[in-house]
Amino acid sequence: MAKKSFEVRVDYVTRVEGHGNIWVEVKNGKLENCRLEIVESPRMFEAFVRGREWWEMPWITCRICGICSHAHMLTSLKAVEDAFGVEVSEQTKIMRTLVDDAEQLESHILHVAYLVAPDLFKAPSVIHMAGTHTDLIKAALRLKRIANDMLLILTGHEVHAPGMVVGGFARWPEKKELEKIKQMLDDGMEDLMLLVNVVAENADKFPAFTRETEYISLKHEKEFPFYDGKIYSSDTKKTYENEEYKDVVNEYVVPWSTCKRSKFQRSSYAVGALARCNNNPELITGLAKEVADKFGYKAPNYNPYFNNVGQLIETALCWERSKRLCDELIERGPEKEPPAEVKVKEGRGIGVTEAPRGLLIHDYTFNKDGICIGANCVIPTNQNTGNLEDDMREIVPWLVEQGKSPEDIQFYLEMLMRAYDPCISCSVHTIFR
Amino acid sequence: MAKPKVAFFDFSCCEGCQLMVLNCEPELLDLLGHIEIVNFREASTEKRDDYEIAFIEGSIITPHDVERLKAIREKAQVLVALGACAHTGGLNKLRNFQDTEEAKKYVYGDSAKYFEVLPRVMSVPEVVKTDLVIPGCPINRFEFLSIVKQVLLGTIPTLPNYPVCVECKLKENECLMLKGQICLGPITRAGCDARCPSYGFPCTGCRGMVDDPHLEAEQIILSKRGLTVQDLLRRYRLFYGYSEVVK
Repeated sequence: MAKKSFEVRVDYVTRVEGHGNIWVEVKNGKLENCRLEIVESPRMFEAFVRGREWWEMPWITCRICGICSHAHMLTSLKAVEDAFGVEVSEQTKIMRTLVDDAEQLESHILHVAYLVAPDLFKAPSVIHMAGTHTDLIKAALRLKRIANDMLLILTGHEVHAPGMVVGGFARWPEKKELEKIKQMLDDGMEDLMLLVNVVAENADKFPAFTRETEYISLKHEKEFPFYDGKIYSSDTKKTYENEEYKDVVNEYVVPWSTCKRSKFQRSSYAVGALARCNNNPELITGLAKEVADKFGYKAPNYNPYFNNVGQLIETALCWERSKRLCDELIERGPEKEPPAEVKVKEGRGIGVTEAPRGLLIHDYTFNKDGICIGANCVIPTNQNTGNLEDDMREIVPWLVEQGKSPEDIQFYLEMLMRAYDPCISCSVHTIFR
Repeated sequence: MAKPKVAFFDFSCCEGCQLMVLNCEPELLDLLGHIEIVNFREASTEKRDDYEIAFIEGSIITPHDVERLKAIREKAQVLVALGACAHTGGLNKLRNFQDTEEAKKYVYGDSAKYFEVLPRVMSVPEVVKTDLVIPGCPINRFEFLSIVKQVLLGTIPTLPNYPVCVECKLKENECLMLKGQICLGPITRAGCDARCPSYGFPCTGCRGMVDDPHLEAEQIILSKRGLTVQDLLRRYRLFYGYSEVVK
């Protein structure tokens, strides 16, 4: 068979958040060039937060991303609280875990049902599927509304919510509102299983491609870690203190991307749902375990397309946990406690959480008046792009070997990029020091 | 009657306003019965250029953004700025109060040279003729639906020209100013249903100012709270970066 030469060039990959291009060149069957270009315009958050007041930091940095606004806000709150030594109450921690779960639900359902599902059915979009897969789309719309209604109740808005403040919450939900959330989650179970089953029935459409890599995520002994946990690497099998994050993320810049990259033990590492599941398999229990079994998921799984499966496992996990967290809050009242007192002082604070797309770090320095004088945000997507490009470099020869056409290769590359659920608007706000 | 063809385009922003469109879950299928979406990169692989109504999200930050926006303007019969970043430049304009080169270097270090940006962040109306705006950071999805409905019916939507306080009072919220907080509700355009004050968080002005804001009165009240001119400017610059007031 003659060795093939072709080029795959996709400008502005669709159904991903933000602007990214794919460029692959194969000459005589050999991969010559392979690039993931991030072409998002730089907004420079870290530069313009300098001069802003401490209490505004969560309110400003949540605007880095519309989809993971709550994750940025939670991380920012932790960073500000760390800088001033603010201890939040147990009730605040429970409520924040619940808020985080609600956003994971919203983001994962949006991603799996709206952005990934069209690939499984070769449809251009979820809009086109409304006529062909009406039940699935209606179920997805209802599920997403439940997650959004949870956020509305808990924090006052789906995107850039006013309810969370440094030290706690500006408003606590009423008992009956928490009961309502529990009811909504119960009512949504059937829709959730419909979504899970449809994807499971089509799981053979995820290419059986594997590439072993390093997985970095938070790790926790008891609670599956979104809001709380320690940075952990699957390669070193060690946890790291927040203060050590720069030794783990090791950012660098390539000229074809406005988004910085990261590496630790290898040329790149992965963060996100699959990394969290691979690093915390003992915490996948109950409904989440049932979902994992439907896909035959076992940790560690090295198929990057399985990040979508990880998202469904986490969706089931958050669905169940949210009900328990509502109960815990109801048991406490919830007490309408004011935010913890803040005593402004000079210093630095670091906040670390898991955003839907992976490890998220905010690092601020304040002067004695609580004015921000330095900021650094490490975003999941900028940690993932190097790993994604390494996957592309390996999957292209793998697909060429199987005699796939350039059109098919383009399809699987776009699908691969979507599997990572890149959040590119976020990714361009990193700092290089 | 053929359904109007609609496109969504994103520039520099968090894409939260597009997300608020997708967050219209109960209304989405009905909405799709009345319009044909031909270009919506965040949601669809389909990309067509035969649109009549273009929604523009995000601020204009690079020379390439300017060219792209002008090309869209030439094709669209109706161009709508969707959300604060498009409408006023939003908080992206905070960068305009810093030295661009220094800011670039702060974020990208030696690699700053790879990235070309305009000396000032611009809103959509600063670059092209804009037919309609939908304010807010992010937009209010009910206002979005109402404006779309009016456009489809051929009427010209108007925005509320009264301050957030009006909506806040109608909701019988306790005034945050009276509780000692600094609130920009008295000078900010309503239409958000007093989203933030209703959750105990003061208004920070994301929808921009009303047409004829009582700036002096606001300044007197806030200076009584001990705010210096510099404090006041800092607050105003967050979302009023478009206005002469903050320069």
